[in-house]
Amino acid sequence: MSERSEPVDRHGASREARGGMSVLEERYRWWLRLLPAYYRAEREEEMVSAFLEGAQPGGAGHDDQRPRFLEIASVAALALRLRLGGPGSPPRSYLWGEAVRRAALLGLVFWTMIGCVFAGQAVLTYAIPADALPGGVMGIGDPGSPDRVRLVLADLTPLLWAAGLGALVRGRPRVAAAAAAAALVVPHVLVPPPLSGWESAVRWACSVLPAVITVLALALGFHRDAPPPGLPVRRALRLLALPVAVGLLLSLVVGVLGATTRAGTAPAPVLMQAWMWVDIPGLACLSLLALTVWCVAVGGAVRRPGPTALAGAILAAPAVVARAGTLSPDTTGVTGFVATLQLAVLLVSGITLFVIGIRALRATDDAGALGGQAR
Amino acid sequence: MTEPAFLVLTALVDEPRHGYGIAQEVERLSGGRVQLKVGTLYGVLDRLAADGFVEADREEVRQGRLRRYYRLTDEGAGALEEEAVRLADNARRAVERLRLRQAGGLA
Repeated sequence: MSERSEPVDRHGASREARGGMSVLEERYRWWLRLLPAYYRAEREEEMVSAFLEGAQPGGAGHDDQRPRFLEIASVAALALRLRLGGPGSPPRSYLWGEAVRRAALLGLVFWTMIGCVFAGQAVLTYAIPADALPGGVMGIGDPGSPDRVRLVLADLTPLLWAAGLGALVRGRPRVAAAAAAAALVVPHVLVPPPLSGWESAVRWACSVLPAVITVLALALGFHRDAPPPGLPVRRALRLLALPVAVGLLLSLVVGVLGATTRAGTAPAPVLMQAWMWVDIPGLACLSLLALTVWCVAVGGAVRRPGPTALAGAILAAPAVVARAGTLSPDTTGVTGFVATLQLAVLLVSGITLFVIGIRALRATDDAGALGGQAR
Repeated sequence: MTEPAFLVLTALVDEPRHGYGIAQEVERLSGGRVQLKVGTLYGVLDRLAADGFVEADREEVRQGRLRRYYRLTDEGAGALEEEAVRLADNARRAVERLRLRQAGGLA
């Protein structure tokens, strides 16, 4: 063996390695900054060593100057798993992991409710009073036509959110993520959004952001070290039943609003306000307000709301963007007032939830520091 | 047990190895099919260490770089044997059925 073996001196090795650092090593170390500090302190040197030993020489006989994409992806995946830790992880990582997992769960509950609103609306629109609607006015297609089938499917596929929630609470996060991704994408494939220029594209992107965040939280938060607890069937059904019941109830409210609007029996400003509280950003606003009240109420109690508050803050950010995306310089009067009020409620809720979450993080850090001193 | 975890444990059966040594041995064992990236390798090692299947053996500095060696624990050897027997049983059953199918028994 031609290599010289030296006694263990980790810090010496670190200094030596950094002294003659190649561009490749420098860049690889830059990517390693994705990892939490505690993990880097423990593993960085041996990871760099393993990486450089395995680095392939470039085509021209020189070392490659950049880590390959798959190497970076493997570090990024490891960083995500460590930063969104499961049981047994450092407290801060665990708290962030729990926050993202609860964001996924709460997001699924919300979108299950929305899916049921759409499904209830589909039944009301296409089944019961379809004949009562003026032909061609509502753009619902002729009965039995491909257009009708496409539109009905577009309204029913959001029920896949419920399938996602069911899969998650039964301990199957991959099935849940697949169902949620399908619930997000399929309706837009069946009924493409009317995009005419960058402005409408941005508005559409803002409107889908809350659902995208839910799918991302679902995909990232649950991993091999943090599987969801599989609930017994009865508890899982109870958890599923709540958003389904609320969603169906809301679909009736929307149905009544629709009938009232068609009849023209109520003043337009009142109807406009009502519609803005039952659209998706409006319902997100009410849901996050309720979550904020709950977190504030239990803040001093035994049940610590830290991860739930952070989850709410994660969900509030895209909800603000979604509501803001519906505003334009023409949004004035009642519409402007309600939209501004909802934005204010979302911002206050988001900030309150964020502060509660950050306090929980600090408390975790302080507890860790005290634990370290005690040791 | 995932395939990378199985191969990492197998790579440590004969002797303790360091990170790159494990990655090389896994590639050799899998006939070049499994090429563990460093982030993936250390993710697998973390999980195996948390389960008590591997542990740090020693550290060396070679050409100014740290090498930390890992060794298989008795618990890890037991888990690997259990998994190997399970996989071998499955493979044996599959081969038996395929032979029956070729002979027309299950056609």
